[in-house]
Amino acid sequence: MLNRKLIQGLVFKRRGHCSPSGLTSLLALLLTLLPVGLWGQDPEFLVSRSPVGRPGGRLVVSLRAEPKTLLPLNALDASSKEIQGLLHADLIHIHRPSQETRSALAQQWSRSRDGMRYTLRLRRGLKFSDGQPLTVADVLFTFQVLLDEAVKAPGRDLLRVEGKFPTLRAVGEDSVEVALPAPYAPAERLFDSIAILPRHKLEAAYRSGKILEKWTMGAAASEIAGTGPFRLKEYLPGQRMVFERNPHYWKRDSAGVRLPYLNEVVMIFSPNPEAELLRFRAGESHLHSRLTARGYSSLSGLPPQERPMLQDLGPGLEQHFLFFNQNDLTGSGMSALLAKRSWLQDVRFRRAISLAIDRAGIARLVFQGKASVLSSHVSPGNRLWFSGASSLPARSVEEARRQLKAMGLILKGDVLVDPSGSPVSFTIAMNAANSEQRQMAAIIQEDLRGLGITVALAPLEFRSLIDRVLNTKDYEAAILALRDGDVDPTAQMPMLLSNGRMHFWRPNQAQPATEWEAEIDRLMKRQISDGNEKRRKENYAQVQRIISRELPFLALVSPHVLIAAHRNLRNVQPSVLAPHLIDGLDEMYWAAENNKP
Amino acid sequence: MPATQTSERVPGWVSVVLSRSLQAAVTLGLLSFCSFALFEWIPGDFLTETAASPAVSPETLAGLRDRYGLDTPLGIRYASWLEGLTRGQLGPSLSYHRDAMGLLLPRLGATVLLNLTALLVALVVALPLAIFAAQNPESRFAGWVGRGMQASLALPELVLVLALFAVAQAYGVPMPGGAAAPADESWLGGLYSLLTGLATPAIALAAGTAPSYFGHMRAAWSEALAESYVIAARQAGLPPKVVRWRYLFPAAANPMVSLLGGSLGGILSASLLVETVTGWPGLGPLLLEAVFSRDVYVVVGAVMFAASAQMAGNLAADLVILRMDPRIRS
Amino acid sequence: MTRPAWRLQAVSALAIWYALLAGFAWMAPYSWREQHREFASAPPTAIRFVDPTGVWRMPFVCSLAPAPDSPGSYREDCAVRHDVWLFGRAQDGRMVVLCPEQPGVLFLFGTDELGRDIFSRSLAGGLVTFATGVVATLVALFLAFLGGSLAGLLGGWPDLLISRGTELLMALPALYLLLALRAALPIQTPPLLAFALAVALISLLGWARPARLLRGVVMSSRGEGYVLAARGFGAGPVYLLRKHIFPRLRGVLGAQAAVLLPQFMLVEVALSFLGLGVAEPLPSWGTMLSSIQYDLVADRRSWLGFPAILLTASILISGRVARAMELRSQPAGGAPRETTP
Repeated sequence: MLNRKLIQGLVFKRRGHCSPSGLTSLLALLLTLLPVGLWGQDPEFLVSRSPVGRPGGRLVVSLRAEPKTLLPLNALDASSKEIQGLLHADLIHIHRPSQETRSALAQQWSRSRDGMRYTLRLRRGLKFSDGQPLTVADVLFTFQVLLDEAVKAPGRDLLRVEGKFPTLRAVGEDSVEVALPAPYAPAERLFDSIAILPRHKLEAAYRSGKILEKWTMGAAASEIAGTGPFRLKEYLPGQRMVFERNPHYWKRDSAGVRLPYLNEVVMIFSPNPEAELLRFRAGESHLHSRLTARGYSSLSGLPPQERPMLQDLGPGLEQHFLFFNQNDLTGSGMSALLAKRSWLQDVRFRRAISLAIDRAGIARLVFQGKASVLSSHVSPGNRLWFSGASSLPARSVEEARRQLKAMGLILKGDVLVDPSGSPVSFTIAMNAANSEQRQMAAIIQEDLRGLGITVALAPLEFRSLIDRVLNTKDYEAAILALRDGDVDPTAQMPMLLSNGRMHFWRPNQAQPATEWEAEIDRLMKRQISDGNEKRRKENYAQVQRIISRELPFLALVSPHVLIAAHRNLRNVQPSVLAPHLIDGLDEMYWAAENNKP
Repeated sequence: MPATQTSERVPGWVSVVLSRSLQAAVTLGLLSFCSFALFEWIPGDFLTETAASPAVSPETLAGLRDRYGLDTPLGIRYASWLEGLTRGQLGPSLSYHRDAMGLLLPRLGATVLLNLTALLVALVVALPLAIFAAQNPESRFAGWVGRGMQASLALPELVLVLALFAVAQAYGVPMPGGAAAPADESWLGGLYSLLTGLATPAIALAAGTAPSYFGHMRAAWSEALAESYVIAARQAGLPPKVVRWRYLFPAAANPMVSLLGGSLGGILSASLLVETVTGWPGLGPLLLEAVFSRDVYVVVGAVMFAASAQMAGNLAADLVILRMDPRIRS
Repeated sequence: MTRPAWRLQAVSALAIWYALLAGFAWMAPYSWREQHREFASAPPTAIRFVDPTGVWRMPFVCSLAPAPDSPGSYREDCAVRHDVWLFGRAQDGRMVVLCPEQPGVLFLFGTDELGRDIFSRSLAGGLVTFATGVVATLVALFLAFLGGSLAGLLGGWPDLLISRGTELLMALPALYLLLALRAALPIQTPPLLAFALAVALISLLGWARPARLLRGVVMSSRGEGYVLAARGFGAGPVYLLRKHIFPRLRGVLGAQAAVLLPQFMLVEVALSFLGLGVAEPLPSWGTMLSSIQYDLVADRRSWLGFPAILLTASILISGRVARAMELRSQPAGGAPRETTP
C-alpha cells in the first residue's frame, strides 16, 4: 500500500512546473526502494472469489469444549483444531464447501511425471501475524519438527506414505520440493491443516527438546504467531478466547480490501448444547454448526424478523453403525461369547439383522427426519466418492426370519433358539454419553424382539467402550459413530484394511481372515498409488459393493449437518466437511451496523 | 497455622488443631495414593481415544505412551508426584500439556465465586424471613414461608436447573449457565455477562441451602427470645432495635457461625454437579472431563483440593463449637 | 398432634405414596417399553367430555393421526370418538387405570421420541428409582451400623481407624470407581443388576455420616447403667450389640433411613445426568429427566418434566418422615441437607 502511494506522489510532481533533475530521480528512486527494504512488499495476495464485504465488527462463536493447546503439533481434539484454523494457515487447503484442494500459502504447485515429487512455490511477501516474514526456512522447519521422531507429534503419521515419510528440500528462494517415498494419489490433500510454524518463535525450544511445552493454553498472546486470518488477543480459562484481526493476512477481496473483514472473533465455551442454543437464539453467539434437528426446528419457528439463516446441508460425514464381534476368540476364555460364535459370526445372521432394522424409523424418530439411511460406509455427503452402487434390500421381517431359519435358528414360541436349544440373545454396547446411539439401540432392540431375539443394551463410558472393542474384545455387538476428517478413501484405510487398527470387527489381522477382506485389501492398496481419478472411483465403488454384501458392519444412518448463522452475516459458506462454518471466517462480514466491538 | 506455643499449658484449641492436622495429613496422603492406585483399574487410558483415531501409527502411539509416562510404575509416578508437590506442582495435565496447578487454580476461583454467591443469596433470603417467622410465629405469612422452605428443600437441584432452563426459554430470559461473552468491553458488560452466567447455578444451589439456614436461624432466634436476659432487657424498656441487635442477634448468630463453618467446607465440592449441568466453568466440568479423558493428575489434584477444603471446614466448625461450648473446652 | 401420631401419619403417607405408584405402574395404560412409532413425541392427549356438537358425553378421546405436512405434529379428529374407561380392561386382559377404547390412544403426559407413553414410563421409572434408593439405603445403613457401633463400643484405635477411614471413603471420587466397576463386570451382565451394583458401590462410600451419628449414640449408651451392668456380668460385644445397643439404635436407624432414601434416589438422578444411569429401555426418573434438558429449551415440551413432579413429591414426603422420626427436637424447616456424592 505504502509503495503504491509513493509512486502516485511522483506522478503528481511530474505534472508540476519544475522538471525533474537527475538528483530528484535518484531521490525518488531511493524513496521507492527504501520502504521496500524496510517494510517489504504487499504479499502476493490470494484474491477471494466471494462477494465484496464491509470491514469491521465482532463475531461470537461458541465451542463445545475448551481447546487444549495452541500448538498445532499437539492438537488432537476438535476444539484445538478449530482454533488452529483461525491462527494458522497451511500450504494447500481443502476448500471445505467444494471438498477440493485450493492454493493457500503455496501460490502454485506442480507434480512430477512419476507423481513422486511435488514442487510448491510460496506466495511472495508472506508475513506472520507478528510482522516477521515467512520464508522457505519456516516451511522446512515446520516439516522438520513434524517429522522428527524424537518430537513424537501425533500428526506425524498423517504424512506417512506406504510406511515411509516424505523428504523436503528448498528449491531456490521461494519453493520447496516434497519427495514422496511412493506414488500417492491424494498427495495434495496431505498439506491441508499442516500449520506452517514460525521458526523464530519456536526454534530455540525445538533445539532444547521442549517444543511440545510451548504454546500451551497459558501462553502469552505475544508468544504466538501464525499466518491465519486472526491472532490471539486474550484467553480467560474456562470462559472465552478473544482473537483480533491479523493485519498481515494474505488474502484480499476483489476490491482490494485486505481480509479478514471482522475485527474480532470471540470463542466462548459452552459445554451444554442447551446453553449453546439459548445463547444463539438470544443473539449472544452468532454461528451454530452443531444444531440438532430439534434445535433446527425450534429456530425455524421463530418470527421472520428474528429468524437466523438456517441451512440443512444434507447428510454429513458422520455415520453410525452396528457391528458384531468377529474376532477369533479361541482360547480367550470368554465362554459366553464362544457359545454364540456360530451365529454371531455368520454373514447370514448379519444380513437378517440388517433386514429387520428399521433404518428409516431411526432417521425419523431419533433425528426427526434429519438423517439419511446408509447402505455402505460412504455417506451420500461425500460428494466425490459416494458411488450409489451399493443399495440396501428393503426392510423385511419376513425375509429376515427366512434367513435365520436357513441358518438353523428357529422360533420356539416367542423365542429364537439355536440348534443347541439356547436362546439367541446378545448385548449391544454403545457410548453412554451419546443419547442418539442409546435411542438407536432401543429401536433395534424392539425390531429384533419381533424376530424373537432378546437384545440387552449396555451403555458404556466412551473410553471403556473403545477399550473393549479394540483391546479386550469382550463385547458381542456395538454401535459406534465414525466421523471422517476428509472425503478421500485413503482416510478409510485403517478401517478397511484387514491389518488396520480401526478394522473394528476384527482389528490387526496378520493375514486377512476372509476372502473378501483380502479383496478389499487389494483394492484399497491399488487405489492409493493410482493417479487416474476414474479408475480410483471404480475401485472404491467395488469396495463399497463388497461392504454392503458382506456387512462387516451395518451402516445405519448419517445425520444431516444443520447450521445456523446470524441473519446479518454475509459470505457464510457452510460445508459438510468439518468445521462446518468457521473455515470461511476470513471472508465473513456483517451486513448491518450492529456488533461493533 | 499458628506456631506451637512453648508455654507449659498448651491451650486446648492448639492441641486440637495439631492433632487434627496430623490426622488430616495422613488421610490426605492415603487419599492421594488411593486415587492414583484406583485409577489403574479404569479401562483405557489417556491415549485410548488417540489409538482409535486412524491417523496415528502404533509406533507413534508407543512414543506418546513413553512421553506421557503411561507405562511408568505406579510407585515411581507417585513418588515424583509427591516430589513435585513440594515445589507447588500437581503434575502435568496430559490433555492440556501444562501443570495441573495452573489449570486448577482459575477453576477453583470460579467454584469459590459460585459457592459464595449462592451462600450470600441463601443468607439474604433466609435470615430476614427466619427472624420474621420467629418474631411472629402465629402469622399466616410465617406459616407459608415455612412450608415454602420445606418445598424448596425437597426440590432437587437438578430439577430446579431444568425448570430454570425452561423458564429462560419460555420468557427469553438471558440466563443460560456458564460464562458468556460480554456484549461490550466495559466493566458493566463484563458484570452483566458474569451475573447471567451465575444466575442459574447460584439460584439452584441457594434453593437447597436456604431452608436449613432458615430453620436454624428461626430456632435460634426463638430460643434467644425466650432467654431471661432478653426478656429482662425488654422489660427494662430498651428500644426494640437495641434489643434486636445488641442482645438477640449475637445470641442467635452462634449456631449460624458453626453452620457456616460446615458449609464452607463444601465450598469446593458441593456445587460440582450443578456446575457440570449448567456449564459453569468451575472445578466440576473440569473434573468430569479429566475423569473421562483419564487425565490422572488433574483428577488427583481436584480431589485433593476438595478434600482439604472439606477437612479444613470440619475443623473450623469443631473449633467454633469448642469456643462456644465451655464444657468441651477442658 | 402427639409425636407418635405424627410419625405414624408421615410413615403411612410414604407407604401409601409408593403403594399408589406401584399400583398405577402395574395398571399403567401401556408397557414401559412399548414404542408407538407412529405417535412419536406426541403431546398429552386431552380427555374430553363435550363433543364438537356441544353435547356432554361420557369421557372420551378423539382419534389421533399424524399431521401429513409437518412431521412430529398430530391432528385430533373429534368426529371419531373413543370412550375412556376408568379401570377398564385392555386388549390383553390387563386391568388398566384409564383405558381408551381401541383403536384410540391415550397418552396422559404425551410420548417421548420413540413414541413411548411418558405416564406409564414415569410410574415404572419411579419404581426403579425407589428400588435403587432402598438398596443403597439398606447397604449404607448396614455398614453404618457395623462401623458405628464397633467404633463406639471399642473406642481407641479402632474408633480412630473407622472415623478416618470413612472420611477417606467420602473423599474418594466415586465416578471413577463406577467406571472401574462396569469394566470389571462381563458385558452380558443384566443392565439392572449392573446398575444396582453401581448404586451399592456408591452407598459403600456414603455410609460415613450415619456411621458417625450411630457412633455417638453407642458411645453415650456405653456409659449407661444397664450396659455397664451387663458388661460386669461378662457380656461380650456381640451380645451387647444385639441385646442392648441395637434397641437403642432402632430409632436413629429409622430416622437415618428416611434421610438417606431421598438422598440415594437423587444419586440415581445425578448418575443419569452424568451418563451413568440405568440402561435403555428401562426407565428411571433420572434417565427420563437427564435427557429432556435440551428438549425443554428447544421445543417447549414441558410435559416431559412430569417425572420431576413425582420425584419432588417423593422427596417431600420422605422429608416429612425424616422430620417425624428425628429423636431430638429439630428446628422445623428441616435438617441441613447433605450434598449428594
